[in-house]
Amino acid sequence: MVAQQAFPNGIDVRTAKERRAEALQVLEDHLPEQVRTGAVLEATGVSKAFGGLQALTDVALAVGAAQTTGLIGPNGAGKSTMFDVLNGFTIPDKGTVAAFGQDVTQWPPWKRAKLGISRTFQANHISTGMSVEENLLIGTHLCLKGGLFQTAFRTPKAYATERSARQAARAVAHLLDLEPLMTVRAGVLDFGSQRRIEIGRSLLGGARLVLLDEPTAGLDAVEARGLLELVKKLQIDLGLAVLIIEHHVRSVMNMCDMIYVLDQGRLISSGPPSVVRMDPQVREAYFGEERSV
Amino acid sequence: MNQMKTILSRYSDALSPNVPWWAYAVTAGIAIGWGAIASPSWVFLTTAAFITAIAALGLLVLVGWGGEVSLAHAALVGTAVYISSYAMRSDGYGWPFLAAGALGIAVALALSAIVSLPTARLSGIYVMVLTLGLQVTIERTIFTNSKLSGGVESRYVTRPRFLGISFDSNVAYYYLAFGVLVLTILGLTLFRRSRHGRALMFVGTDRRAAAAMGISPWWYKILAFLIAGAMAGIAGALTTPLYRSPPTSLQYISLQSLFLLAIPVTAGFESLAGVVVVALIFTLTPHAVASIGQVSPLILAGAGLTLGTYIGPGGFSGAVLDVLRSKRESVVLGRKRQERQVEDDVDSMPLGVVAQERA
Repeated sequence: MVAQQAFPNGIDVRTAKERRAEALQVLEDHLPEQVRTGAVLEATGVSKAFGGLQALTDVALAVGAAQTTGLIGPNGAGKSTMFDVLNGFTIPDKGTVAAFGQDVTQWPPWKRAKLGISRTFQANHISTGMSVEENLLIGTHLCLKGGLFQTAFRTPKAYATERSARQAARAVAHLLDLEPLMTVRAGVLDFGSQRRIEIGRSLLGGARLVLLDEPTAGLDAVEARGLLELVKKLQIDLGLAVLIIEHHVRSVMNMCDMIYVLDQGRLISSGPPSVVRMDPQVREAYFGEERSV
Repeated sequence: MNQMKTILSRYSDALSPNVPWWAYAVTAGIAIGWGAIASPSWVFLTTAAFITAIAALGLLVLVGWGGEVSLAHAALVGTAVYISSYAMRSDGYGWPFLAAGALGIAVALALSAIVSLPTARLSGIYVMVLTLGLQVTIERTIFTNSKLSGGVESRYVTRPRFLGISFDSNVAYYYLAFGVLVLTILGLTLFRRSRHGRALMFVGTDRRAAAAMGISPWWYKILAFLIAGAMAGIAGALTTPLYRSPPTSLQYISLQSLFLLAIPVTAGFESLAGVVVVALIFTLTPHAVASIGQVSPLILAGAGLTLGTYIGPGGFSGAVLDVLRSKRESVVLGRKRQERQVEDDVDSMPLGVVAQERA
């Protein structure tokens, strides 16, 4: 019925707004129920050393439900190491990480992903030989059901979940302006499109908490602003929790509800943007002198 | 009728969007026709090439999709050859072909599983050494067991007969091997497009990102070894009935593992059909040029390994696929560029002009 209304005589008469709303609805149905209050992720007293290099010292942070939290700091501050600790690639020497009420400090990344934690990386980590659709579908891995033979030979049940995963992938592609490119190999696309594929893939993994590691790295200023606006919009529309590392400090100040600042592996400031912006320690870490961030 | 259509639509993506349907029909026609018109010796050799292709497809999954490596593949094929032939032989268990074949596959699978377990902690050169160790161990244990291999005496097995069909003639056995090859390709294609196939491919491409998406790299590495082991087992089970007696163990020494590895490396990791084509070339060329001079399959394999490594993971089939794909992709990208141009033009217009144009 909906299809008949949307495509009289085979022509799609839906407005862009209607199509976006439909895509959002499909994606919301695909995602697990979002946590609306409290903290979804809490790290306390995290320390990590690599040989003689102390990368993190007693760092604590919390990511609030349905909020965008920023993690900033100068180069070498320990942001990516902290991400690896939160994500499970690095086990901390000291401290704990709790996600969605469970202690996940010793969990491997793939087990944490089952809780709804997904992440992107600084450099593009997509499969350039696969099509855009296949790259996005990788994100749906945990949401799909069926063993080896059921999925390969497409039993009705396995095929039904695959079909709904494909719908969700198409919805994400629509929201990220990738829909016309679904059959194209990811490797032939520009850097910005590849970035959006990675973000889309992380959303499709049943995400309740998305860790974005410098999503605008390598993009020009206009593309970067557009991407961050898109991320913020999706975060609000889907009620996600987002933790973002970003170098565009001004953008972080605008989009985040809470910010943590690392310098030389230590947490030097945290709070809402209005507080962090005025913190003299933050100014000094960034500029070596007291200037406004 | 409608129900049949619905079921078939589930498998529509088994055919590549880059290859026209008639290309499949022509290929199938040639393969079926070849069995009927070629001389018995060529039919026999092509059957051997099909069996080699099945073994090489296992390596494609392991090396190309899973990002692992094995230098023990020939030993696994050889193990399945001797185990299944012993199970079939009248002086062995005297089992029927299907049961004996299943035993050979199970043993190859088990050995592959054992070698896959330490790969959770090892990678690259260490996995090569580990698998080479397995190859040598099998050579010195299973292959030297005269009870299994038959020793210097010839041990005969009969070609199978099942579902009321006798596969005793070369032509009939050719069609059996061809059928198994087609089913193998179909199964791998469907697997490749399933959630587990995508996960395996992604683990082979980017282990860290795969782990972040909830995919256990360890489990999928094991799976790659299991599939490769099963393919080696199937190839081994089909081999003895082809020759009517188990071939000499020299056919399954470490050099042969390199030969098998050369096939997917030369063909590239993107096309299953490419692996079959290279297996056919490597097996048939020495016989095709025999009247001119001697060409060892190992020379072809050596050249293939060198060239394949030089060309990269796409291999020769990747180069062909690139031509086919770029046509289709350039149309899509061109359309997208046009759309973007229109959006940019609208963005750069004063608001009043946009309103007028829309009106």
